[in-house]
Amino acid sequence: MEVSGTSSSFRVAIVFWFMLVCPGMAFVRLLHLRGPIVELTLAIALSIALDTIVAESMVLAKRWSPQWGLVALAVLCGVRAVIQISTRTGGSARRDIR
Amino acid sequence: MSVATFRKTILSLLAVIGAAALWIASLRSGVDLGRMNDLGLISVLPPTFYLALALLTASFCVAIHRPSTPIPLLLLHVVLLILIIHATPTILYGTLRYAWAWKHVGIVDYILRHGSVDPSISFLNAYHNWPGFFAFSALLTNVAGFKSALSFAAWGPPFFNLLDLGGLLLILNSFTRDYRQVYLGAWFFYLTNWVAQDYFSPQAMSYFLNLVILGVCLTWFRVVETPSLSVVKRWLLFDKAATLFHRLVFDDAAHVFNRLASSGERVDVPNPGPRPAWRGGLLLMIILLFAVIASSHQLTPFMTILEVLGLVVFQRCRVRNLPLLLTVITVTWIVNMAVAFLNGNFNWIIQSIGHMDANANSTLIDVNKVSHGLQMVALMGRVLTASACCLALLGFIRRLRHGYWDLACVLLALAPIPMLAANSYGGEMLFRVYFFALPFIAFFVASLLYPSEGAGRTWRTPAMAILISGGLLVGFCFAYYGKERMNYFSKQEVAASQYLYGTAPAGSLLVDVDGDYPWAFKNYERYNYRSLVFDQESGTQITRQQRTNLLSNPVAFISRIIGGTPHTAAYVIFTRAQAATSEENGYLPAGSLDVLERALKQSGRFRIAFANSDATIFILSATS
Repeated sequence: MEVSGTSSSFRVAIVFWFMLVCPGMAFVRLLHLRGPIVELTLAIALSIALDTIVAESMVLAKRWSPQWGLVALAVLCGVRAVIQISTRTGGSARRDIR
Repeated sequence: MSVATFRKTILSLLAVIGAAALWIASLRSGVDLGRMNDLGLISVLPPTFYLALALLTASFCVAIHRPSTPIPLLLLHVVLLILIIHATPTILYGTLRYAWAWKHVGIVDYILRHGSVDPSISFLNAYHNWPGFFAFSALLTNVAGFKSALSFAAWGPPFFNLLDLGGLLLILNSFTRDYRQVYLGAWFFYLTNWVAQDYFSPQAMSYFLNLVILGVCLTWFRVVETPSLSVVKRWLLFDKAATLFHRLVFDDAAHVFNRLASSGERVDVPNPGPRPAWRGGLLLMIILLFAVIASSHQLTPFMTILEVLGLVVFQRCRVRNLPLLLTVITVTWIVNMAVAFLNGNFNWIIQSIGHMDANANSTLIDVNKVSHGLQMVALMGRVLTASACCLALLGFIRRLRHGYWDLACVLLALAPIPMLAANSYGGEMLFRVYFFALPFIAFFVASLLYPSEGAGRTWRTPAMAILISGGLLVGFCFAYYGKERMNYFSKQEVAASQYLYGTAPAGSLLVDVDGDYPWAFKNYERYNYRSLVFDQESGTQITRQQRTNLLSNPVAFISRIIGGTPHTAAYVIFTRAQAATSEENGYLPAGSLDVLERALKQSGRFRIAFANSDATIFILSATS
């Protein structure tokens, strides 16, 4: 998997959206927060935090691999889906944080 | 929505569109950046730019006063304000501003090349000891397919300011239900935030995360009711201390408050209610965000700890152990991951503790030494800061008169102040304290106009809002744009630096005048760096005698610097921004760089390696 090299505007937009919103949104959606601004703010903050933790772990371990970094972030997004499915099948009530 | 309301909303929307059109027209009017004087960008911006700000300000102040204005419209005003203020330099320059932002690109470049950091590296080692932001940027650069963070770093100020808006709204919404206070508070935040800590940097990212942590604490972990003595005793463990604390904070303060306020304490934001099942998730989020702050920036963790400590000690946050947890995370990082930095810097860190005066004063430039324009800019920065603080104090008193204690907001405005006693932080501590207190200062400035939901209903209030906004905007434009002749790098200056870092062999010595040029952004660790106007050992400005020596015999002075450092090749870099910085800060008299360049040209010891209209790079001849 090649992740470096030339860059198109489309790719940049997708990458920035994925890295700055998706990992955090995956978990923030579980909290059922009120208001899109609150949800987006927390999602971006958490995304930056998760991206940083993944990137920093690779740097400190001297195992720099952007492709594995991406895989790790995608897995985090997938974990959310699993949690949501298990929560629903568990029949627990939806709780809103107000 | 009635027809009249609909018409007013459409009018506001048209005003926003008009302001945006004026702003775009100002950007397309062919601003001649080369004509900037020592008042910076304001000396070259066209009238349409100021008209755009004036129209937007008037429209916002009127729109916020009308109860029927849709919230998204207010948000649109604030977003456009952020874009006008912070995207203008990015769009006009087309290059990354601030010399120090270039070295941040250099650390990202280091990670991209090495896949790791070197905490014991001799130069810029603080960044290698707190690499979080740089690792994140490197991953983003790699995955987006860029070769360097330079491709997006210039957009740092608008990007981080837009992010901060989300954090700000979260915090301000926890203080009041009055949307006017919330959006006017955010508006004033951007009109008074002139300290420029929003560029491509660890502190900009950490600041946003810090705002979100505070927002989460204030929204979902808030304590609204005053705790009983038995509860305080349980927290403080010592009976006598608990009794004294409870009496001082909750009995005596409440007594004073009740005398000042026209009615009892009002809390207009509803208590978030019973503990939701997912509050544990929010706590985990706080820990993750803080872990990233602790591993990215040296100062922000301490600011966050002080802020959260204030909230917990004064019973405004229910997670009692949070300050302890945050302290453990910070200390764990420093002790385990930043030992290399501590080893080299322990002495001066310890020495600066307790010197509050010196730490605060080192922030302020000596106006007697700088150019007239920079004197004006520095003065405007101070006036803007003092005005914001005074207005906030008046706002606090007015809010008190309306029955609101706002203890959490007061605590957060004061919490960063103890950091002044801890460290000068490279002469920036006073600015950083102001920066961290600013969201809460801005809230109280908004409270001056709209202290409670029932107040501020006459048309005098929007008139005052326009007046205050106009005054702050004038101060802001001077304070924020006033140094742009130094912060801006032309494409020619960037081309010179690209040439230098593309051709200089490893082990080269790069001698600059005052360091204000695009530097250290590529292969930075391969070179040694020296400056003509700063002493290598102390980092302070050279003495008057040394300056005389430099100007009377430049070749001998520069040769001595070069001779004192091992090198494979030696370059001397002269650029437009360095000339502006030396002149405006009083490092060297105006025209000195021309004198130095002429001397090197005529000496025969140096030859020109690269030259364009804004930069000249000399190389020490191999024969000398």
